[in-house]
Amino acid sequence: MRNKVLSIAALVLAAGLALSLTDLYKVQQGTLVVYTTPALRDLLESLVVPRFHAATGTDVTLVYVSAGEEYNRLRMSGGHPEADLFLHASPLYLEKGFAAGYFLPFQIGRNASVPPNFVSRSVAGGHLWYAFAWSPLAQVYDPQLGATPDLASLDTTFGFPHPLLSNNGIYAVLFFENVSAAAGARALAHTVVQPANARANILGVADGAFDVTLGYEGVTLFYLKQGARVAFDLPVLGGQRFLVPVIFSAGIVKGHPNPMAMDFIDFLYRDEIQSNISRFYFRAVLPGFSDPPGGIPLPEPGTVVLNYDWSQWRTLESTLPKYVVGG
Amino acid sequence: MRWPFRRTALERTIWTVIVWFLFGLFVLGPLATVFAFSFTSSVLSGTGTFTLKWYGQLFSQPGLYGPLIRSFEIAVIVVVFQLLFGTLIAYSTVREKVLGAKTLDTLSNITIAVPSVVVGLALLSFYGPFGPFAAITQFLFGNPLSLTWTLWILVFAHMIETFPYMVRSMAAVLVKLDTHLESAARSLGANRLHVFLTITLPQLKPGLVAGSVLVLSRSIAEFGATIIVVSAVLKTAPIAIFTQAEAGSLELASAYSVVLMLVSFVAYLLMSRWLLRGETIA
Repeated sequence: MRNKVLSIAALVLAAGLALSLTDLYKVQQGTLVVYTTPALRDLLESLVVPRFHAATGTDVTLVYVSAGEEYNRLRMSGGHPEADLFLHASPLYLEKGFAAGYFLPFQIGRNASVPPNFVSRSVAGGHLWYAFAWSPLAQVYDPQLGATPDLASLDTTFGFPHPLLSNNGIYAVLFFENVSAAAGARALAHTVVQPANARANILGVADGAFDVTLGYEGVTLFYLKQGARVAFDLPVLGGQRFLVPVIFSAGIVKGHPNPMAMDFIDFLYRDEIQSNISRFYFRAVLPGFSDPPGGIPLPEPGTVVLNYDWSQWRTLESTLPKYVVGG
Repeated sequence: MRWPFRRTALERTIWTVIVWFLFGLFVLGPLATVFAFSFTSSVLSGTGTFTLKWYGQLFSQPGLYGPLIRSFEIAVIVVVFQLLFGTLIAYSTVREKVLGAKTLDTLSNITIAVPSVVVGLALLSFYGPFGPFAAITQFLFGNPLSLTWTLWILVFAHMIETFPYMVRSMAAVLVKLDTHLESAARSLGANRLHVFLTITLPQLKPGLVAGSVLVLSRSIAEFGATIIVVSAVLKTAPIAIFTQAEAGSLELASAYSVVLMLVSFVAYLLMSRWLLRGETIA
């Protein structure tokens, strides 16, 4: 009797072991891992991933931590990366990672249709990154302040997004460094909190943690739809309005384990995706699709457009640390 | 043991109130709150109503119920490996089959004292692309092997964390084992394997069951080492609870927690009742 019970238990455990190993191996091999940003959560979870899964049967796991942390996680992987793709709000880490040998050059199927400011420079094998969506950098503020406060004479609390953790912080730094470093220093002096991502940044204004910040139009519209009390406009500095395109770009990890990685990137440029991006408050990169409802009407006469040369990432990156409070 | 106080009705009442109050404050209260939050529509709003929607979400979305399945799959693998490895170590130390048996016995408890996050970091360092394991495999096979983000580093983490529970459970049974039965069987001509399978192993059953139950529960609950070594696709339930709580979804995190508690409890009951009918856990 005792031996019979032990034999049954051994068989149950052996079956459990076999089933568990098979399933875990299948999950590990069959899942596409995407490192991305919380700003894209709704666009990816409600539109892109379900449709990609329906079209290909591929499971997708989205990993949301800050861009800096994800880059470090990639570095820790050596030649055995966990992630297949990076979908981020700035190409800085893609440029930096390419220089370090972590990303592969590639070319999408609709290469010719993507405007030149939404594609990286050409390298052997294609491009380092392509933008699939964009959103204007927005000055977000407490509506009680009245008109859009001029950043040159800011005299209220500011939320300077963390430049080493958040892509939002990178855009804020680049804006001030390219327009007025003095205004940047002033904004930093008025900073009370450094949010670690674009969503936390807008929420900071909504919950009264600070009065003004630089965030993304798309994320601001998302929270406005949910009833957040914030106002926004293009950044204003010295009486001048600026258009800074925040470009959500895709990069492909070198040694990526999942063969569907390239298919996922191509999927982002399908009409069914590009035509629906504005539903999630971002803007399509391919021409001919509508802008998000409630978004800033563009193009706007008299606005200065700032596009960055991301290939100069070392210079861009060298300016980031001085915008860390207490850093 | 003699009761140190006179059992008057008043004393008994006071002790009952104090003990149950403290137990409620530190154990039952927090667990009951998790239970309540899992049925609340919105905790943060302060105006929550009764709802089952968090459980609905949990069991309808693969991204949410996946970590629960992962947790149990990994726990089963760890139990099987630990039955082999832990038994081997316990048998070797109690029967003093190896040199330094007493030292090994002492060292087998060391992971109880080491913080689990340190265990995770140690594994990541040793088996990672920049650690000794990669260097050794590079030297031996000409190709560095790294276990970072693989299933195996996760299984190793859980094995280290659960190792003392299996060894101690087995050792407790082994020291009480009647070796005369084995000697008698050997003197009647049975070989070592036959003696082990038919005489020793059945007597080890209480230790095997107790060790398995403890390893299963501990593996399902493991967090500290797991969060360091786990890959995104193999995320376990405790990691999912942490992620949800960090994202502000206390209700969903609570629903996860309730399911985890219930399943662990049922597994514990089933294993102990089914396999230990009429016997006590060592």
